[in-house]
Formats: sequence, structure tokens, C-alpha cells
Amino acid sequence: MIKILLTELLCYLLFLVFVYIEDPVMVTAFIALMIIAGFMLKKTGRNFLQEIEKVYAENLGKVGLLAAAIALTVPFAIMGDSYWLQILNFMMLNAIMALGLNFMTGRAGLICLGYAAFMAIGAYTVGILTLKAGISFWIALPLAGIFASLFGVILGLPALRVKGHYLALVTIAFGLIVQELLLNLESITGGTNGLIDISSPSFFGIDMGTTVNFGFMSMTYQANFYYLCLVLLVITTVVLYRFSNSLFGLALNAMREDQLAAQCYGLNLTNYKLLAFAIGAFFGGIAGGVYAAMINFIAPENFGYSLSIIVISMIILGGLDSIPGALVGAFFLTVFPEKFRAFEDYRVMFYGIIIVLCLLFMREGVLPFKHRIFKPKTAGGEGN
Amino acid sequence: MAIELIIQQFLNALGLGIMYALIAVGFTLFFGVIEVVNFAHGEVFMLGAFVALLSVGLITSIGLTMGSLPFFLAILILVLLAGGIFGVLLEKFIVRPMRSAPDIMTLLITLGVSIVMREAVMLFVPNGRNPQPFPKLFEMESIKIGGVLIKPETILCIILSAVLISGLYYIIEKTTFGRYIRATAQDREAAMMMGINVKKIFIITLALGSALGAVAGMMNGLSYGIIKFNMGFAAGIKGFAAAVVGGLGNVYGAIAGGMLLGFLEIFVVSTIPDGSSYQDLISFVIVILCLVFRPAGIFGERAYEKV
Amino acid sequence: MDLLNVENLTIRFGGVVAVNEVSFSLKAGETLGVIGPNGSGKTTLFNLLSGIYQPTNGEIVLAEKSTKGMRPDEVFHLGISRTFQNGRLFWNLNVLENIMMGMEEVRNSKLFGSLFGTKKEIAIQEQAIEKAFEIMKIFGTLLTSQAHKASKDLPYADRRRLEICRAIASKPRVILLDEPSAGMDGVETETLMNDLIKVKKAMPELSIIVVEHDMAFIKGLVDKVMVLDYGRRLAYGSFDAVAKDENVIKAYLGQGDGAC
Repeated sequence: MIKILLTELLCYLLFLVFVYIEDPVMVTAFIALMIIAGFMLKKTGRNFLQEIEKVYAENLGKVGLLAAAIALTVPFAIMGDSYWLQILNFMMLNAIMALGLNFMTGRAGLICLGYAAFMAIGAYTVGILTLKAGISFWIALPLAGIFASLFGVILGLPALRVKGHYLALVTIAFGLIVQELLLNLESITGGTNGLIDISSPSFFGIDMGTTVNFGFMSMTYQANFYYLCLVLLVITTVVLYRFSNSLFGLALNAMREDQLAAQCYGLNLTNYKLLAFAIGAFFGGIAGGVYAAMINFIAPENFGYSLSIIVISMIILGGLDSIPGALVGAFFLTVFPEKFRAFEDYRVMFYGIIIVLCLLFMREGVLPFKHRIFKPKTAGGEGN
Repeated sequence: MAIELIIQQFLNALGLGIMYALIAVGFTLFFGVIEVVNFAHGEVFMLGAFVALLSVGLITSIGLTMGSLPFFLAILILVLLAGGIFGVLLEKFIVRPMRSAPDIMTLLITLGVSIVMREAVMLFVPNGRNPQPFPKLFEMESIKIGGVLIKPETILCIILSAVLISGLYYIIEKTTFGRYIRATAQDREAAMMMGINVKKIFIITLALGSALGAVAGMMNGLSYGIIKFNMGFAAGIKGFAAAVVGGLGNVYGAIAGGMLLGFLEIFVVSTIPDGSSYQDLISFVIVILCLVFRPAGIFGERAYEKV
Repeated sequence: MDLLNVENLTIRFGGVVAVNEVSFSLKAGETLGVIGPNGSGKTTLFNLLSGIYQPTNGEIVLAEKSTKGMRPDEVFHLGISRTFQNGRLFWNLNVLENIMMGMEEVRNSKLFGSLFGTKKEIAIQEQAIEKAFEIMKIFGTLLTSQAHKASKDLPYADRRRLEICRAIASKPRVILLDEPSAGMDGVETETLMNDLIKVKKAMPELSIIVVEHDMAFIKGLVDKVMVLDYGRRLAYGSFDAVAKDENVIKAYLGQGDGAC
């Protein structure tokens, strides 16, 4: 227990340090230091790392709870800095998408290079429903997820017949077609101009688009969304964790490993594939819905191929079929580039380089979670 | 429609189709011989065009005048070399290390490479974000037959492509090398046992396919007069689509697929009002339809999975 | 009463007739050996039986139900499971999980239960794990000692054993073994044969169809033998009868005792 507390607090501390350093030279030095420390730890601290891994794996509940508790304090620790709150919000939305994509691609083995389309569907659902039909955000959000799921199934249908590289092509095409549709169906979606003035949701009377007053401190509206995103992220993580570590998740893994053998052992591939697409897409829709309400403006260009690539790079970095990996990948690839704002132009290229380097040198990802719960004699199931 | 217009569009379609065919051939060779899908292949198309653009200065400085035949040939050679070298480097640093990994990884890593290439050109070529005018590499008069204005670029591209494809045919069917390539494509293990240096065949295949793709890019620049850093993306997808339609692994299928796609696009653009905005979409939809209803392509994919 | 009835099973791939009017039947508890040179259609026969291919002609009837038009997963539910010639395990899954994939419990798990970790779901998982261990015990401690190892990390012979475990995990009616002793040496093959005899004793109602090249292996295990040659049934009957069959001897010159 102590170990968990110490390691998590250490990470928290490092994170805060990272947020507070401004000078680019210091930042680079810090990152370099971390990377070197990481390598050295891998080389010399083998046993130590394994021990930590074991403790974490056996106490996932505690780890998660503590992490969530820490996360609650972050806005205060960063003094309500609106810039960083916004970045963290994006990070959490990216994490939700990464988890969804990870479920589809990492767990079920269904490659998807058009995930941005699901975010787009979710965003536009919320945008259109709240803006044009006056429906409350809190109803529109789950609908955004459901609608995205529907599109997941739509993608799934042609995807049933194809595998591997063909599937990749179909998903790219899907992403592009959805974007085209959003551009062309002007009457509903506003075309290239998109939707503006999407209102911020109100939570029990409090308008989430205004400053928050904590009594001793007040923060800009991003803080409201911070807590919303945090709650959604926690829910997403728990839900997908449960699905992954169940017999259902096991079946998806089998399908990923060998579709033919899985079929010969009774898996109705159609059902499992469509379900995997639907579930994975759902979370993309949720992320999109929150995005729309947070930024109050969406346009088709926000949801293009580049975004799909960014999400894929997060799960490659983190490790396919690894939930902690997806979280870590989202964290690194959203937060780190922010310190290099000056190099904003190089962002996409950076993601491409990450993909190439990771696959060449770190194929398993940063945090491959080899946690197989189906261990002999341990009570199988959640909460080992 | 006036007959002149039809002939005009026919030539356009021919030019477009043959360009797609050249890209498709690369994809299909990579799949058939090396069993990889190279998502970076579209970018070699862009590479060829930009190499041509950027070497104008170099070639002029060695004394050749722009627009003359030797000038054009010099650029062509450079482009072929660039494509070939790219293929060799890709094989050595990207494809070979991924041999043992699941297919999905090779796909993703070549995807990564394509992103890096695209962004790099956008960022590091002067004024890279914007479309670049493409120089007239070969000065020729436009020919007017009847009422049809034939651009010399179109004829040039068609002739060049025909030469390249014939060359490819010759290599594959008539030379020993070609036999090795075909053997490797049919059964890699048997080829290895027969003493064929499969590693060398892989390198050559990637070099060959990439060289063709690079030339296609140069031709694209010639035909349209402008090039842009993201020209490889659509070209890559369409080239892959053409290869799939023709049956992955089948070189002649790839050529047919490319032509088919080219003609289809021109048909749609010229017949459907406001068709040009749907031009790209056509390919994507065609691909999905083809994959769903006839995944082996028109001429059949090389058998891949053994039970 | 025949459990499995195959009549005039035929499949054509373009011009090639891979399986040509093959007929045979199997009672519950019977073991049939299928032998023949490579390319004689044995694996294709298995692919037909498991629903991977649809026959051009002929019928497969299991427990009075025809498998016509059935997908492999439907055929599995009917009661036919199989192993694969080249070994098709779920490589990154561990031994335990591979075996569990054969079980009904996996397929019937409900999303709701998965999500909320209901007692029922947990009980099902524990039950499945226990059952898997029971099955592994057939091979003594060979597999139980490696239960949490990824199947790709297993030594070759253990992989083949794992495939067999996975195949019996679903308590099928018929199990198709495609060259189970391939790559095994003499000692391992004999062990395997004894293990299969143990399986037969533990599951007396289980019918087995085994493709093999090793004659000694076949002799010790089967009730009857079918010989395939170029997709056709060359001979069909008891091991001794088939061994004496002229056609078989002609096709197998000099292959009296198991070389291949």
C-alpha cells in the first residue's frame, strides 16, 4: 500500500514540476533526465520494477482510487491555470478515445484508422441536438455515444468481410466519407463553417461555461469540464476494464489471435466484431460530445485523418491492448507536446515519428499490461 | 456530347488510369512478393514529383536546358533513382525489421513513415504548404487533331508509362530476375530452398515498385502543372484501391485496376454535375464496394491463407 | 444408431476435385483413422466436416441434423471440434485461456454480468478454470505446470497436447484430430497414444476421427480405417482388412509400417 502511495505521489510531483517549468531548455533537460532515468531503471532496477508491477496488478482497485483522488486535487495544485486545465481536459478526452480505440484494435484486433469519425458523430450529435432541438446536454451526451455506436456498426458491416490491410483501407475510407458527409450536408451540419455557439451545459443550475467559485479560490470554466471529464474518464476506464477482463474480453482476444480458430470454437464472428465496433465507437462519441459543449464550436476539419492518426499513435506508444498503456499514451502525447508550443507545426510529424520509433524499438509499448487475470488458483475475475 | 469532347476525356482517362496503374503495380508487387502492404507507397509518388521539381536547378547547372529532351531524361533518371533508393532504404530500415511482427505492425509503421514524409515536405520545402508550380520539363507543341487539343504532356506520359510497363513486363516475364521474383511470389520457402537470394529479391522489388511510383508522381506534375505536399495521400489510397480491385498480387490486374479507376473517375467527373468534388470519394466508395462484394478483386488475389 | 453420417461428400475447387464422393459413418464412441498420402484430401475433409468449406455435393449429418449451410461456429455448437494440422492456438493467450475458449461458458457470458462483475459471472469463470484444470490433468503435470504460460512459449509437443485439450473442453460429440503426432518422436508418440486412450476411457461417448501417417499409432487407437487417395475413398474397414487391401498396397508400396 505504501509503495503505491509513494510511487503515485512521485509521479504527481514530477508532473507538477513539468507543468511549472517554463524555460524550454529546462524542459528539454527535464525530459532528457526522465528518459535516462527510465532506461537506467529498466537496466538495473529489474527486480524493483517487477515488484512494483506485481503490487499494482494485485491492487488495481486501490491504485485507481488513489489516482482518482490525486486527480481531484490537480486543479488546485496548478492554481487553476486555465491553459493547463484546458490541456488536461483535452488529455482526458483523448484518453477516452484512446481507450475506445484500444478496445477495438488492441483487444479485438480490428484495426481502425478512421476513429475520428466517431468523435465527429458525437460532437455533431450534441451540437445539433442542443443547438437546434434545444435538448439538454445531459440527454444529448449519451445519445451522442449511442449514435456513434450506430456508426460503429455501420462501419462494422463491410468490415465483417475483410481483414488486415483491407480493413485498414475500409476504415480510412469510412473516416473520409464521414468527413465528406459532414461537409456536404450543409443544412444539418453547417457545412464547412460548422456549428457555432453551442451552449455550455448547465449542471443543477450552474452554468458550466462560467467561472467556478470555491470560496477560497475561483477558477475559469475549464475547471467545471475538468471534473466532468474526470468522471467520464473514470467511468470509461472501469467499464472497458471490466469488459476486457471478462470472458467476453477473452473471446475478443481469441478472435484477435486467430479468427478462423475462434470461429471453429464457436464464436459468431459477426456478433463479436459488431459488438467490438459498437462499444469502441461509443466512447469516441462521448468524447466528441463533451468536446462540442466545451469548445462551443465544431467544424469538419477538426475531425480528419490527422486526428485518427493521433489516437492510433497513443495506443501504439502505450501498448496495444493495454488500458494503462492507453492512458499513459494519451497523457504523454497530449501533455508533452504542449511544452513545445513553438513547434506546433511539427506536431503531426512528431506523431508519425513516434509511431515509427515505437514500432521499431518498443513494439510492446511503454506499458504493456501483461495482466492475465485467468491465473490458476487466484479467484478469477475482477479485483484480484 | 461532341466527339471531340469524348476523345479529350478518353485521353484524360487514359493518362489518369495509367498513372494509377503505375502506383498500383507497386502495391501489388509488394504484396505478392514480400507479403506486405506498404502504406508509404503513396508518398513515393509525392517524392518523385518533388525530386523532379527540386532538381531542376541542379540539372540546369550542369548545362542542360530546360525543356530539351536530354534535360527531361536527366530528371527522369534522377526520379527513378530517388524512387529506387527510397525503396532500398525502406526495405532495410522499416520492412526488414518488421518481418517477424504481425502484419498490422508493418502497416502501421509504413503509415508512420508516410506521415513523416508528408509533413517533412510540408515543413521543409520552401513554401511547402502551398501548391507548387511544376516546371515544363519537356517543351513540345500541342497537337491539334480535328477539333481535339492534345496536350503534349498527356502523350508524353502515356508513352513513358507504356515504355515502363513494357519494361516491367520484359523484366518479369523474360529475365532470370523476373523468374526469381515470380518464384518468390509463388512460394517463398521453395524459392529459398532453390537458392534464390530472397533478401535481394525483396530489395529489388521494393526498389522497382517505388521507382515506378516516383515516376508516376513526376508524370502527375507534368500533366497538371502543379504539385502539393499532400498529393501522395489520395494517390496512395487510389493506387491501393486499384491494386485491390485488380487482385492483390496480380500485376496485370493492378494495371487493369488502375485503368478502370482512371476511367471511372473521369466518367463521373464529366457526367455528373458538380462531379469534381466527388472525384476522390468515388474511389473510396468503389473500394469499399469491391472489398465487400468481391474481396479477391476482379482477377483474383494470390491465395494467402492456408488452413 | 450412427452418430455421424457422411454421404458422397464432394468438393471442387475450379478443376480440382479435392474430395470425391467420400462416404463413411461413425457411431458414438467409435474412432476412425484416416490415412492417405499428402494431398489426398484429408485436411480438406476436415475443413468440410468443420464447416470451413461448403461441399459441392453430398451431405454431412450429425445426430440427425444436416450441417448443410452451417458456419464453423454453428457446426461447433452441433458438436464437432477439431485440431489443426499446422497448429492454431491462440498464441498470446495462456494455456488456461486457450482451453477455456473451447467452453460453452465463454460464449454464453453476458455483457451485463461482465460489466458489473456479478457473482454469477465470477462463479462461471471459476468453474471454467476448474474444468480446464481437470482436462489438463489428462496429460499429467505437463500442462498444469505451465498453465499461465503463453501458448506461443510452449514446447512443440505441449502445444499439440494443448490443442487436444482445447478440442475436448467443449465436450464435443466428435473430435477431429489432424496429425496430432506430427513432429513428435517415437516416445512422445507412444505417450500421446496412451493419453488418447485415457481420453477415450474418460469420455466413452466421444467419437474421434484422426488423420495420421503413423500406422502403429493408428492401429493402437482406431476401430476402423479409411484410406483416401486423390480425394477418393480407397478402402474402408477394420485396420487389418484395410492393411490387406490390394488397392491400398498398390498405392502404398513399401509403406507397410508407418514411414511417410
